[in-house]
Amino acid sequence: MMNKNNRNIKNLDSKKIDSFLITSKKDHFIEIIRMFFNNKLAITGGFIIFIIILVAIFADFIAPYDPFLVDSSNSLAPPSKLHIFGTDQFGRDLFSRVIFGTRISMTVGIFSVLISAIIGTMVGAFAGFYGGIVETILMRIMDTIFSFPTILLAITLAAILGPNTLNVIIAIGIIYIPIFARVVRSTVLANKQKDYVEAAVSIGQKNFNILFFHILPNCISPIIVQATVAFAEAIIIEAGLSFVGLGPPPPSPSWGRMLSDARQYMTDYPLLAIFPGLAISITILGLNLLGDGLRDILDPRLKSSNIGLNYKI
Amino acid sequence: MLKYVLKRLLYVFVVLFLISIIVFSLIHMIPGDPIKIMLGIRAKPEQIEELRKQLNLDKPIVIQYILWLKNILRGDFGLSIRSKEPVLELILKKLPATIILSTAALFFSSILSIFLGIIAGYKRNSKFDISVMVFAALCVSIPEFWLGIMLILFFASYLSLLPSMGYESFLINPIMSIKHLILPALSAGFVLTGHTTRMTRSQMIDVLNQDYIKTARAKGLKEQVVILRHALKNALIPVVTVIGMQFGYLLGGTVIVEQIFAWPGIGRLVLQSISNRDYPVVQGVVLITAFLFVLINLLVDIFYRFLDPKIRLE
Repeated sequence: MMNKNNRNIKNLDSKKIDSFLITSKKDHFIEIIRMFFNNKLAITGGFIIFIIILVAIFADFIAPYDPFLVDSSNSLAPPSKLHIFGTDQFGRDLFSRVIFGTRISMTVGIFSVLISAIIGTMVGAFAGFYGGIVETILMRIMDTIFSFPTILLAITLAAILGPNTLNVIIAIGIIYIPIFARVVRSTVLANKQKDYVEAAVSIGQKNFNILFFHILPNCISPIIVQATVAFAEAIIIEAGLSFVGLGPPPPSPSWGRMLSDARQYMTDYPLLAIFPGLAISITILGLNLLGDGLRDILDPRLKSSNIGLNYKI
Repeated sequence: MLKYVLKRLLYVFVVLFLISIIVFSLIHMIPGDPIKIMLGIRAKPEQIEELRKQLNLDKPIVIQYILWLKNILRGDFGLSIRSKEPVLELILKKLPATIILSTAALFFSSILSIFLGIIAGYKRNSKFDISVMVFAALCVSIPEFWLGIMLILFFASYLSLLPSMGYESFLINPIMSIKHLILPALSAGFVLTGHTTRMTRSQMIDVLNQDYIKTARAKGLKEQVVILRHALKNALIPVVTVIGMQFGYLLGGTVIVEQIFAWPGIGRLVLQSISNRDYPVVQGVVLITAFLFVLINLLVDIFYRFLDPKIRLE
């Protein structure tokens, strides 16, 4: 018993204590990174998305052919050593088109989520923090946007604004603002009651600073989780819009448009429809796994910690 | 309870009002002159002026809105530019097909998801549970239009078992009618199956961890009774509300599936009207769909509060 005690006391030096406590933002961040790599879902999803982003960035180097290169003599060819996935009805290499399709999906996904997240966070933060008539008006507008079924609203907006990539980004961006607004608002409301806010007010910190520097950092984790979900849905909606002809115009190698073009030739050349659809499914699956993993890591963690306390007050 | 219903009704009115403003302004968001776009390039100036007067687009915008709203409340949604039919009639003609599709999709989806979710939640972390979770993840990841195309490829082209498009009335030919319904309903309901399964499973897990379940088991009740009489009722109430809301969503959300299977519902109507630049029809469909969505959510919400005694007796 004595030996055990002595041993325990000897081992308990300050370095060991520090490694148990998270005393700075850097430690917290490192802890999250460590949890990320321990979580199978997040790793798998993250890996898939990482690969896809790499493919999107380096598409020029990875794709064997120009995705717009028409070669009518070679149209609708089956997979071969020359064309891994075969060719489409205009003789364009299917593999290259699928690869360049990642660019469209990633661009639309990233930018539309950025728009929704930024505007939605602002709306939610103001609504939650200031309350009263501001909250009522803002949230009613959010509810109104939320009352339209997503696909229908996306199609209508894209049809009205015109079929091109920018309008698709704008349309999807607008549609997802309410989700971020709701999430941020409920987090802000939950944090408003906490002690550190009262402490900040009593020192005389300005409202905006409290909101921005203390409360918002606690919102980051739900925002990130929501962002992965919105990203996945943005890609599906973009594919859907392209499918009905409202997305990036031809000859863009958008996966949705490739699916729509393939419908005519489907019975005889099913691969034309299978590969783009697989590409979409794998991307969405990766995003969903990543989102699920992030949700596992971030949610219970941040309920128990208080990042606000780690800022200078 | 009544006070709550009244408060919700008031709130719903506000939202419906805002929806009407948005739908009204849709036609004004079109870059360019909406009239010229609707009539096409070969329109003569007199036709343009006539349509402008007919749609009241020559008056100040607030007056336009008031006139438009007055007409809507009377049931006059305007005339389709293409077929000159009253828009409301057109929509009501096509709405039943969408309702049938949505109901069938929801029916398949709910039965499968609740069944899977309950068992998966009960046998948490078992092989069955993990396969159900994988299945749910796949359901959510596969785009429904791709699934529709793949189903057509497999069942219609390859196996020639089911028709790939069209609609048959149940009264005329019940068997064919169901055959036409199966593939579209599967496609439309597939993604929902993923969500509902996950939700049912997590509800089941939450409920089974509650104290009253432990009490019921400690009392010596048969496991079957514990599940059926105590766990299920509580676990399923939120699930049922979500399913209700999914129905409202499906009414406007089956657009692409209807296009793939040439299903004559309002989704397909919207797409056709968009290509025809028939904006009065588009406005009408969007307005009605949004209204129905809001109303269905209201009903589901009230129903939920009625079902859950904890809330009802507040």
